[in-house]
Amino acid sequence: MDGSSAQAEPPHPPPTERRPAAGEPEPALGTAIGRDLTAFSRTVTATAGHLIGPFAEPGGGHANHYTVTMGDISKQLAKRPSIQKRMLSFNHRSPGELVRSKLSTAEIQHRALTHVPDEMLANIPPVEHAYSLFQGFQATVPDETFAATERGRTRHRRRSSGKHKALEGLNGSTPDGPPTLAQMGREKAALTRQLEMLGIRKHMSSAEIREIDMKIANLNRMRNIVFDRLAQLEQEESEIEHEIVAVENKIEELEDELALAGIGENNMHQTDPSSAEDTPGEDGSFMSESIYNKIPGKHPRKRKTNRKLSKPMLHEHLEPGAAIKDMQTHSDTITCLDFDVPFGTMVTAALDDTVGVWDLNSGKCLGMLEGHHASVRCLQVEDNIVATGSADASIKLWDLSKAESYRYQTTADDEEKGSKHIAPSMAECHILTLDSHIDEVTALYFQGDMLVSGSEDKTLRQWDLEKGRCVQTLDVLWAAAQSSMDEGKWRTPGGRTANGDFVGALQCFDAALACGTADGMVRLWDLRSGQVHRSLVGHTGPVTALQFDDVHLVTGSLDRSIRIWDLRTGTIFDAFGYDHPVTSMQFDARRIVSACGENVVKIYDKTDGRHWDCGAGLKDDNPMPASIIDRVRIKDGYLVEGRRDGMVGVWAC
Amino acid sequence: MTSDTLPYAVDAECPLKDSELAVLRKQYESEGAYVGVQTKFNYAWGLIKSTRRGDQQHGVRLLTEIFRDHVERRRECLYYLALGHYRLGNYAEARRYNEILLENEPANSQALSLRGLIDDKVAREGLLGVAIVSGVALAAGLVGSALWKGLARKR
Repeated sequence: MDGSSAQAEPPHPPPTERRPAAGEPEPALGTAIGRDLTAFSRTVTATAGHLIGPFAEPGGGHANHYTVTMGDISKQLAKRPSIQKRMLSFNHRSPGELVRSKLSTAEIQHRALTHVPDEMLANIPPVEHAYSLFQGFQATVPDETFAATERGRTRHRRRSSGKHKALEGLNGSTPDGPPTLAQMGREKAALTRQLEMLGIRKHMSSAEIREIDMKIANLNRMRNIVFDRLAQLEQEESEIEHEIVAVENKIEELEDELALAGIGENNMHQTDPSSAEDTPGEDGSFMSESIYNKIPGKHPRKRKTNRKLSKPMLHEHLEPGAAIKDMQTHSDTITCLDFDVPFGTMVTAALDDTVGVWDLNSGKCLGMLEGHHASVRCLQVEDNIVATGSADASIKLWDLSKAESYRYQTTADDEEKGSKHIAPSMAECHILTLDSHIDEVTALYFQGDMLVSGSEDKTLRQWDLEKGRCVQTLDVLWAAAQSSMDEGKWRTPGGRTANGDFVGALQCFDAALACGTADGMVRLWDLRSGQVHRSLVGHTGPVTALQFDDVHLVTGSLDRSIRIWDLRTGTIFDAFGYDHPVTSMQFDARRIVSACGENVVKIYDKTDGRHWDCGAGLKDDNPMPASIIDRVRIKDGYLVEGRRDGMVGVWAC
Repeated sequence: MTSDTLPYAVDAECPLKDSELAVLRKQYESEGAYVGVQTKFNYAWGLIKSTRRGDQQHGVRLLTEIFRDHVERRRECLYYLALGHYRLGNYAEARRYNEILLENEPANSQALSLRGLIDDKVAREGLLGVAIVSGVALAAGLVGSALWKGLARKR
């Protein structure tokens, strides 16, 4: 009955205080909650009044007043949601947040990690980027995601407005029909958006490039700092080495004094172990007592070797192609040069018949090796042993460690005198002369106590350095004539490139010997049998340079080409040509460097197959063009080249 | 900032697919220590959009790092941070960042809308809290009155 009457009755007008003002939008949910709350709070008030009432002091006006106030507040709350918001959020935290932030350790940790100090917040520069990170995100995330969100958005819009929905429904039902204006419009919008995204992506890429540039600049700065530190360390290292040598020499002197005083007759015994430890490894047996004994009475007391205790590595970190040093060594064309280790000792020979010993670190001349009657055509430096082959048909061996003026004695004293000091003769270094050849020695190679040489007399000779005499003579022409293979025969070199040395280059390893000759052939010999066991045919001009490692043999020739052979199969592995005849070539682990009649060194990088040039000729601003490079050597990325005007350039590569 | 450069809170509400998030993470991890700011943000934003709380926290952490390291990105980062904290329910933090952004850009419509959202959320949770507290009080009252009545009857 009650229900029916309620239905029959006209609906009660809603209480005025609950109706929102006309212009004031009110969130639907908020109102609902507000209403519930009002009702609820009334109940609470009533209950509270009920409860408190009996306890209240006589004079119930108090309780009554309280109820009224509560009612007022709740009415106000319902009417003005913003007030309740303000009231409830006065501490800027919702209860859930409070509970979380106080109770969970993970939350507290996270808060600590993500807290941003106020001074950072105070430093907010204006925006200068062409796009926001969010736009960048939109542009990066795959398009389909986007399409999905886009679709979601349009769906949303459809739901919100009925008119749109109807229109789209119409269009959507005829997908194959003629394009409508709305469709075209949408398409245009999509394309515009795509264009926008492309623009953002462009900006992103350019920003990324800028970022990377900055990083590179930073890293370069760091590299320079570390590089300076390395240079500093090497400097200190060399100073310490000087001191060590000085101290060692003093010790030796003291020992000698003691020996002279008659305390020990076994002078030799004391010095010998030290010499053995100075030349460790395979060189221990090299230049043994027997050879030294052949040069009697000259210098029984042996100097400490110049062997560097540390390995310099500064040049490895220089830019490839960076100049390390320029030295004016001779006044005439450099015929050959070699050095032991990077920043070590270099020996040069020139057409002016002189042979100079140089300190690559300081660029100073340490002395001259005098003794040859004609210009030196070929030389090799290994540790402190130098072998020189001359046009006077002789080969001489020198031990640089025996020089009085050698390195550490000179560097300290002559520092001030600079270039004016006269290079001392290093005649005391001479230990051996090999003179069985009857014509110019044009190529030599030694390893351990074996030396092989090639001469214009058309023979190769193998020497035993321990005994100091020739142990084998190989006649190239005879071997060529013996060859059963047709291509093994000697071919008379013709044309304009015929002026190469008969034996242009050779190298041996154990019993294997490779030699390149003027007929363009590379012959591989077995020193045990004295026979040619393979001939490599390919070059059309005299071979001038040759070097092999365990896999490849590389040759350079006046026919302007470099050929790389496979040692096992004897076939060509790679070849490349230059504009001019190759006069000198050497390779290290990474590069093949060659001198071929230009003022730059030609470098072939084996690892990335790149050809590039290095040398003084690259500098365009030089008013006087650099002289042509004839000789080049490389070890561990440390390149030394000798030019026709007697200059020697040192480069990192 | 124009109106299009910042996402509305709705954008943060729709999570990415796991595979998409994995792509972003892979990119982020592949760049290692020298990760670009955009890549970092992409991953962070993907995380914040996620529904998992751990992901969201991670995202906010990354955003904080961006904020610290890239001064030129700070202004927009304020907004992302505010959104992230909003997603996490840390309304006080969210408000803090948002207000600072609004100090700098009073007309930023996204920030204004976020302010409204934060206020709503806080109010709602506040009301819920009141409801809970008063509910407890009501229950206590009922029990109390029952006891009282029992006592009174005994007397």
